[in-house]
Amino acid sequence: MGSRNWVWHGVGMVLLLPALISVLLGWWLAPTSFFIESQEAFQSPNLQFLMGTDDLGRDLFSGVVQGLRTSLLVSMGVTSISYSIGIVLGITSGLLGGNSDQLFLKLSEIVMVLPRFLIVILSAAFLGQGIGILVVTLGLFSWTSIYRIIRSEILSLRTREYILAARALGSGVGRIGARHLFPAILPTATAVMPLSMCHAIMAEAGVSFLGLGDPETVSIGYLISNSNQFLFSGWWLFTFPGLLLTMTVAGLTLVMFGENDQSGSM
Amino acid sequence: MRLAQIPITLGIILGVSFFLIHAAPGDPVAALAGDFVTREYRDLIIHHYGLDQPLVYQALKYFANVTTGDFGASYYFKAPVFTVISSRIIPTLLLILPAVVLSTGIGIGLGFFTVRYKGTLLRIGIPFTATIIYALPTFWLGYLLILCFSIKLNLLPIQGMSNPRYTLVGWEYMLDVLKHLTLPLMTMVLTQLAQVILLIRTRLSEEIQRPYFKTALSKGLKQNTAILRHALPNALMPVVTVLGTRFGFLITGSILTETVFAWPGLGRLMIVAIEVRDYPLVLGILFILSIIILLLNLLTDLVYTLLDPRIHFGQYGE
Repeated sequence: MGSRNWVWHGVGMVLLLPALISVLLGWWLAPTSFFIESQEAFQSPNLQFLMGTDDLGRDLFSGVVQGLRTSLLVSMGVTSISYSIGIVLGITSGLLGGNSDQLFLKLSEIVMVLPRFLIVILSAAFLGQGIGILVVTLGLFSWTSIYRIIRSEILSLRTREYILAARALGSGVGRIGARHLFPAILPTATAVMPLSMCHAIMAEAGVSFLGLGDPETVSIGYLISNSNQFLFSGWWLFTFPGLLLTMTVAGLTLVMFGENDQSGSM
Repeated sequence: MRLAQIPITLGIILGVSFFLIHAAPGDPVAALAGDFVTREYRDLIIHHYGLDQPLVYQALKYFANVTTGDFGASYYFKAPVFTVISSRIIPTLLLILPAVVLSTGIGIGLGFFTVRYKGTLLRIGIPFTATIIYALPTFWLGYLLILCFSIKLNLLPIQGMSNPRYTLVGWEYMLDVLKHLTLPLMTMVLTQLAQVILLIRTRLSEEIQRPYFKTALSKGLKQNTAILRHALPNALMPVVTVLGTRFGFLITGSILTETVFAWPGLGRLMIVAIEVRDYPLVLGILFILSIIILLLNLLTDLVYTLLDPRIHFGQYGE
């Protein structure tokens, strides 16, 4: 366990600001949908359009704000699904041991080698390009790392005296898991949470970049894929979405490192 | 034990994907027969490819064929799936394998430097830079490299695997491919690199706190020798374990990189196959990619036993 590093933490928070502002104040900053708006095309950044307009005259600033909001919301959705599965299975696995532990462990080994991104692409292509499907699929296939962390944590916790005391007082497995172990593993779980969010953000951006994202939701991946024909004529179209996505992911990672050096679990 | 797991995993991947793909709305008949066809011709095509059979029957038939090495025929390319795939395997491996080797090698080196020369700028600089590079979306990084090296400096080609204007042979051809490979490979290496550096840095700084390392120093070993001989091998083991679970990310990277650089590999073929709903081709590519991942995993296990003689095959534990 390292100590808190305020410099990294601070830099991370600053990098995260645009994404946080987009989620909290997006409704005020960019009230009209990126897709609906239409102005004069290819305006370079100016006071009216802070990040310029694209080939169809859409305001890039609105696009980036709405895209960042999508990124962050997707990552939260995915993480809550994968963490719920991982924590429940991890506690069950570590606490029960024996056959169910072996079963979950094998299952996690198999899920871990599955090419997750491919599965997400396949589900987007064949089940439909919805943001909901994307979140659920990503969540269902991202629980293995947190499961393993929680499981090994539980293995060392379950022999502690307070657990023994709880058991001696007649608490069942469910009660020990929910009341005694769950609070104990929470700090570990939250420490690596930003990493899981980063993976989800990048997966979503990648899927949208390939043109398999939700057509009704603005995504940074879509904005970047849309900009690649204009590397010269519209540098702003390429620069801003990528820069802000990088800032968000770097911000999350630095906050995590600053909080407690978990770089080993990347 | 580990070997036995491979067919099981492959079976699960193929099974899940088969039903996922076939249960989905949208149909491949358009790709097979064209958009404007008579009803009779449509029915004929559906019957010819067995698409009117029950799904379970189709699945069993497909699996039976796969075990004999027959992946069926691609709807779109009108050729056996294996023929379509086989020319794409080498380009993808050309991207993936050097990416693994280079990112691991360079990563270990840079990680070593951050720990060895801590207190200097490197200690903050390398992890910070690594974090930023880690945060770059693969495809955006690809375009950045194109902008920098192809458009501004005009050093390297933008796309493709070889120059279509000339037909080169022998060394000249290989040099041409190498030139085209540089940027995609750089993209792949950079995106993988950060992880290795940060991992090595964490583990190595843990190892040099241990008593055995102090012993090594106090018996007169130089700092460098002590790290390389004693700390590094111990630090490598958890790194290898973690890297072994990350090969899926390589596939992600190769799909995105191949798309950016129009590299004629499996990842790009996959995207094409999905667009035209070419079921047999999608499943075939998935199968090959899964085999590549699983073999790489097996390889990490072998490396693991090499690094730690206490571990034997069959008793793979925690």
